[in-house]
Formats: sequence, structure tokens, C-alpha cells
Amino acid sequence: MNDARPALGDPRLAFRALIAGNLARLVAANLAVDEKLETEATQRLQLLLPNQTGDRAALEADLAQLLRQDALDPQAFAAARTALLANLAAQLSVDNPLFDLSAPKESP
Amino acid sequence: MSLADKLTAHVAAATGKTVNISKVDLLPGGACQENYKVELRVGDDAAETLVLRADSKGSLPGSLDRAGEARVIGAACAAGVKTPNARWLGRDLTRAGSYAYFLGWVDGEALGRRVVKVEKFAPARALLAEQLAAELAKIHSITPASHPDLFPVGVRPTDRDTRTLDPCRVLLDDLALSLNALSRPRPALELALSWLRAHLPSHSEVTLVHGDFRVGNFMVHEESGLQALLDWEFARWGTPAEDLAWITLRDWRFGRLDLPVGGFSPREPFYAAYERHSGRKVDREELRFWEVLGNVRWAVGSLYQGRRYVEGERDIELIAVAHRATEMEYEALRLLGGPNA
Repeated sequence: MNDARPALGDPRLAFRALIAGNLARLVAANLAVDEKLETEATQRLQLLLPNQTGDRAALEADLAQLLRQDALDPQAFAAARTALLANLAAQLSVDNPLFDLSAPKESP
Repeated sequence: MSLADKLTAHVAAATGKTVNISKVDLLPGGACQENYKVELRVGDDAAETLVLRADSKGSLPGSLDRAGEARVIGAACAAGVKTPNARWLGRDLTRAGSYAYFLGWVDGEALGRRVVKVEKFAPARALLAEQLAAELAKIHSITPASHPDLFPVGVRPTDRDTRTLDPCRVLLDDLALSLNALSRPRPALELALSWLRAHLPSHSEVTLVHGDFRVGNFMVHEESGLQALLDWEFARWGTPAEDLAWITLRDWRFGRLDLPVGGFSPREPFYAAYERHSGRKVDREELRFWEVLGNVRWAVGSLYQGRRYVEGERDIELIAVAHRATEMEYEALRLLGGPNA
């Protein structure tokens, strides 16, 4: 990407090359940790849905269905929020390590 | 017939005067529309630079076509909103079946990252909270009672009988349907929607909302601040809190997370200015509801950008936008724990 972009005279094309390079980096980063990320995310979902079986996709589909039906009691809802936040945080640590997971400290 | 020739004939018919068009250049950007820079002269008037804004082949869910936009812009201008008026609406100018209209060219900077981060825009940033609050108050003065024919009934979920319209419920139902139609379930967004359903505001006043009121849709001069509001394609009946919250979404702060209003202002000066200009009281808890909803809405919108790529629109930027939905999902769930969670 750093070799190709200076050779691209069209700024729009250079911008697209930048996006393509970033997406390639993302794919590579995800491939490097894919199994670990998947295993840990699945384990968090299995703890939420002890009566369900299946892979991450199946568990996510089951959880999504329960939430669509507003079927979780407050305790289960809070646990689901915690687990989903952890899964999202893990994904963001790969996709965008600069993403600040804490609450922004807003000026008064 | 060339585009310039079509436009010449159209403007001549609309004005009854001779028209000379010296330039028509396609401008970059725009998901639902094509914009052209047009230089023309009408009769003995001075030469002008205008924007021709036309329907594109694709459109995003919930967006107005140019005819609908032109109607909204007319109402906004009549209410004193700082936005160039739509002129000479026509059909079949750029492609068969599409609408287009002309807008006055406004100089300034619209690129959000530059407005928020470049030092020379510091004077503008100091003015924007007050200026934008004043414009929002004018937009929110337009109601179904004052403009009963602003939107044709039934075109979009919010274009319904406004006597019974509940903007919250309509948006939540629409988002639920949109999520359900995605190829992969998103439990984080379903959780946020479940929370939103359980925390509906008790009352929602129905007014016109801009629908995409954020940095990136404001033309800004580095010294004098706001020059014009842009991009009315998502305007609809809604509730004022939507617009007040949308501008505070994390993704619209362009890295200045400490300044929640568009990356240029703390919350209170903006809210206080809006209260003064509108005569309304701003409910901060209601705004948290709409900030959560805004993140869900933007996450769903982002995922649909990715769907456009999968369905054949080979623009690599669509994938890049879709991939960032995770950030909005995280932010929506984080906000459920309270503003400092």
C-alpha cells in the first residue's frame, strides 16, 4: 500500500487504496486470533444459554431471538449485556486497537 | 441531448428568460444523490454558481427523493432556517424518472474532520453551539399542524396519520424489521432495542426533524461559523430529542470525545441555547434514550451499507463503513449502564 499509493495520481483512487490496505490488515489481524476470539466468545454465550447447544452463530441467533421477544429477566438481561460487551470489546481490540472502551471524559 | 442542454431548456422554461450554462461538473460523494456544480447566467442577472442535486440510482431506507427534499427545504427556508432554497425542481433531467433541483452554492467547509480538528476553525467552533441550537429551534417549529401536507402519507413509516404518530415506536419497529432482515443476527443490537422498548419516553412531541443533524452536514466558515445546513434527505416527522442526541453520537465527534456536541462543544451550552431559542425544556434522560437509539440506528445503517456491497454495488468504502458497526454496537450497550459506564 505504501508503495502503490504515491504512484496513484487520482486522490480518490489513493483513498480507496488506503481503505483496501486497512481492510487487508483487518483480515490478517482477525486470522491471527480468530480461533481464540471465537472460543472465548462462544464460552461467554454458553454461560448465558446453558440449555442451548451449537456454535457461536447458533448461540447468537438463539440469544437474539430471546431478546426480540423481551424474554430475559433483569438479571439475565444484565448478564447478557456484560457478555456481549466483552465479545464486542474483544473484537474491537483486533479491528481497532485505538478504540477507547472506557466512557469518554466529557468536558463540563 | 447533453445534460447542459437539458438544464438550459429546463431553467429557461422555469424562468422565462434566456439561460447560458458554462459548466456542469459532477461532484464527489453522496449515497442517495448526485450533485453537480453548475455555472450559469439567467437573463441579465449576474453569473451564478449553483449545485444541481439529483436522485441517484440507489437510495437508502428512509431517505426522501429530491422532490420530497425540495418540499422540506421550502418549509425550512420559510421558517428562517439557514439553508439554501431549492429552485426549479424538475424531472428526467439527469436520468429517466429522477427528480433534481438547484441550490445556491455556499462557500465553506463541510468535512467534519477539518471543522473539528483544524486550528483555523477554532473561532467557528466557539460559535457553533449557539448557532446550531438556534437553527434546530426553527426546524422544530415546523409541525404537522402548521404543515399538514409536508410528507405524502404512507411513503415511509413516519409519514403516517400524525394524529396518532408515536415517533419512538415507529422508529423502534422499523429498526427491528431492518435487523430481522439482515443475514446474520446481531444480539447486541437486539439487546439495545429491548432496553429501548422498556424505557420509552412517556410523551413525544411531533415536529419536523432534520434526521441527520451532525458535523459533516453543516457548511462552516472558519471565522463566522455556520453558513448553511445541508442534506435534508432524512428529514421526517419525529421528536426534537432525536436531533439533539444525534449530534452527540460518539462517531460524530471525530475523535474529540471530550466535547460531546459534534466534537466542538460540551453538552450544557448547547442544551441551554436550545432551551432559550425553542422555549422547550431539554430532558437529559430522554436524550440518553435517543443517544442509545441513535447508535443502534447508525449501526443498522452501517450494516446496510455492507449489504449494498454484497448485493453488487462494488464500492469498497461500503465494506469499511459496515465493519465499523461494532463500534456503534459497543457504544449503545455501554450507554445502557449510564453516561459514565
